[in-house]
Amino acid sequence: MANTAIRLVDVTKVFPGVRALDNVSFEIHEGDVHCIIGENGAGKSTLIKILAGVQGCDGGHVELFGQTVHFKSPEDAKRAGVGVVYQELSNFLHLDVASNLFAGAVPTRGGHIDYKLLYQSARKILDTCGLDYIDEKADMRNLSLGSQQMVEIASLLHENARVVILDEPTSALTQVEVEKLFELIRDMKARGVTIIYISHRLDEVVELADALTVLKDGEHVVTMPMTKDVTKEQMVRYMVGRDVSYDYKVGSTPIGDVVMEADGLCSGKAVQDISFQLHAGEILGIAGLEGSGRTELLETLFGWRGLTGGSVRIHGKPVRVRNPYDAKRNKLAYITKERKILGLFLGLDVQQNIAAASTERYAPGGWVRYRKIAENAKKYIKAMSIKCSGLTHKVMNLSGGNQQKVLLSMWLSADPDVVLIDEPTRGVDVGAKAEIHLLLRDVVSQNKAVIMVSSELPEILASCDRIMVMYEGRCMGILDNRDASEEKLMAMASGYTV
Amino acid sequence: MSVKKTSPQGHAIAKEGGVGAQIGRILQKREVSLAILLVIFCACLTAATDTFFRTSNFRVVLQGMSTDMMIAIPMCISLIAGNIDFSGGSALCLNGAICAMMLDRGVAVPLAILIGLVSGFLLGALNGVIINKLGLTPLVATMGTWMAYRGAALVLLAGGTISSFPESFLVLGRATPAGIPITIIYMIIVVVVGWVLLKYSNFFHNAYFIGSNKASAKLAGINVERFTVITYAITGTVSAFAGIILMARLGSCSQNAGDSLEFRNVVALLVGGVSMDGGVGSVLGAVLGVALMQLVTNAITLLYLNTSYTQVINGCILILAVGVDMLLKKRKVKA
Repeated sequence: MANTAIRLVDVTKVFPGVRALDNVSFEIHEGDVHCIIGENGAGKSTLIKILAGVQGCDGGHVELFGQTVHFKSPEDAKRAGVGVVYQELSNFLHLDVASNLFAGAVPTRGGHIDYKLLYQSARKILDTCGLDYIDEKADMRNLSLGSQQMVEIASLLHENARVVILDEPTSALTQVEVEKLFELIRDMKARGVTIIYISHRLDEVVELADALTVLKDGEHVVTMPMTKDVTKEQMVRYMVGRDVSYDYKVGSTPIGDVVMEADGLCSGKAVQDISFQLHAGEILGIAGLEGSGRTELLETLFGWRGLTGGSVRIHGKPVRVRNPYDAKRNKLAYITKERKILGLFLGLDVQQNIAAASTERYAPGGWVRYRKIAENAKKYIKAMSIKCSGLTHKVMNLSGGNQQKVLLSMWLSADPDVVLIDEPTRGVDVGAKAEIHLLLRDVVSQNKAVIMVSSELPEILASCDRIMVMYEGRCMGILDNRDASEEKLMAMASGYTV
Repeated sequence: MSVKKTSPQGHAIAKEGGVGAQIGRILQKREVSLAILLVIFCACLTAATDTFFRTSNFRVVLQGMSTDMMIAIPMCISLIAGNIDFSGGSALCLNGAICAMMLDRGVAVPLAILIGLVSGFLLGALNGVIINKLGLTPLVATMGTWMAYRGAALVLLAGGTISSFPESFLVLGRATPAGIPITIIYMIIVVVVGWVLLKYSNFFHNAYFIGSNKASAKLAGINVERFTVITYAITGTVSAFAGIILMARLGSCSQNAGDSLEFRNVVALLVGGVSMDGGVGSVLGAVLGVALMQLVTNAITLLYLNTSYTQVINGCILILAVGVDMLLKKRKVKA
């Protein structure tokens, strides 16, 4: 067997309230394509960050080619031969390809830049990577995402990276670009470069991997060589397989009439041909992996993102929602997952925030009645048991769970019929999680409906009456809660129908 | 930027901590600390000179600040929403010039004024349209119009001044009903209307939401684009009005009218506690900020100092006022 390139020994990383990695130990062989898979929040990104020197570990250590290493910065890791291509590319879009390849170390002669040598060397690097179709003088921003990614990889190879980490490299690529990428990966492998490949797509894993590691909730599940016997079902089972112990009273509200109906909804490539019916008294869950178009679907429904096809009906009437203003008028509410950036007004106080989406209600004739704003805020602070010192408590000083409740109050004040909510419990501690889910159940019991996006399958299973699974912008199916299981959802979310 | 309500712990302590802590809390309001500063400043001037505490001097000070003050009020509302406006001084000059040319050609006084105000409205609204449609930042957009409007005024006036206005026009800037110069009355009206609108009209009150987080405001269904255009249009209209009144008072239209007014006002607003990032500020703060700037000018004159010191002092006040705020904020984060 080949030498060990990387050995992780009891690597542990703790964030406030979570063990992102818990005593993870496994080995990666030199010259392998080693795939790492797992659900969202399994610890894949944390693992990459530790290997790349972005974060240190709180316990255990990493051995690189037999030597224990403690990277303090990404530069340290780079010097030791570990290079990363992140999902969000990090190149210099305004510079040309050659400058990107030599970023920070352009060839000089007598103190000034030797442009001739720069372009010649760049050409040579591109050619040796089989990227003869990329022009070394082209501006980076004019290249396709796939080509930009290739240039980043080429730059790592040029810097003599011995380990290349690719974080979901195909998530934004076209099929042709994916083929090109795979060629380059095989080429790197032939040169003895070790590749760590993170992906959600099981087909790619089957095609590329020499070995496979599965992580789950920060724990190491299994590392095994990828043989023909390893099936996709098996991988899914490894990724899921955990106990569900939630009770969010799913199914306790009577299902009423259809409130909202979507027919063939499209928004560019992100959302393609989505149809569903939403009933009063129902929480419809949307499951899917990061980038599957879940958030984009909510944005499209709320008019935050352009509708390129299809139609929506609310209470049987066709509606055209072009912007959030239209959405609000049609009694929709949208609670984003980035609530601090998009949703809340951190610098303003609790009562102002709660009033923000329904200011007309407290201003009969256009004149603000501060007493009405305060009364409404008091009502919600009590109903939702928001923990704050008073009406004038700044929202930025509240905990994540209380901020979420303020945002929920803001939108419930506008008395919506349909609440769209994205990752309702992200950044919320365990106690508040249950509270928020019970509040959502309470919302639908008032003849309203909720569409809830969540990355956490147990959460979806415990709270949603029906579950739509999305994969690459498409709907893979809508399951009734009784028929759904984590295995089924995970398989569908990986683009693979059972 | 200015007023930081206390954290829950701080709140509790302040309530229990009795008078001392209460006073400490009140002092953190920019409006309060600025008012105290103004009183001290006036007391010192009264002691140092025997020309300060006189009705005639107050009249000079109030009249002197009336132009700046009127424009500062809509600028304040706009800036709370995160929309800085640098075009006020140039709009004053250009729209004044337009009105003056109409008068010069014998157009009836009410019509000439109306034309000046309408062009002020449109040129102001143009700022908002540029920001909305072209996606420029307010700073860049209004820097552009600031320069262009000033240039257009120079073109219209062709280097000269216009100074033959009918008496029925001049009276608009020179009347003294009940012994009070009419410009001071205009100023008070603008301040009161601005205060009422910002505090009690739902439309203008939305400035706080828009300034605190523009994206969240859009998502909450607030029509941010319409707000932007309307507030810029109002600043333009008030600037035109101030320009016309200034012409009536001085009896001539000069190409230097309103020169560097925009910078003076932005400084005054920042001193008055309006945040450059938006979301924070009040009309009272704006009034106190403009007043402080004007008093510094007055003091320099009364003390026979070189007038160039005015800018040095105002610059220092700006840095001190905002700097102290930042320090307090930092201390709070640590505590």
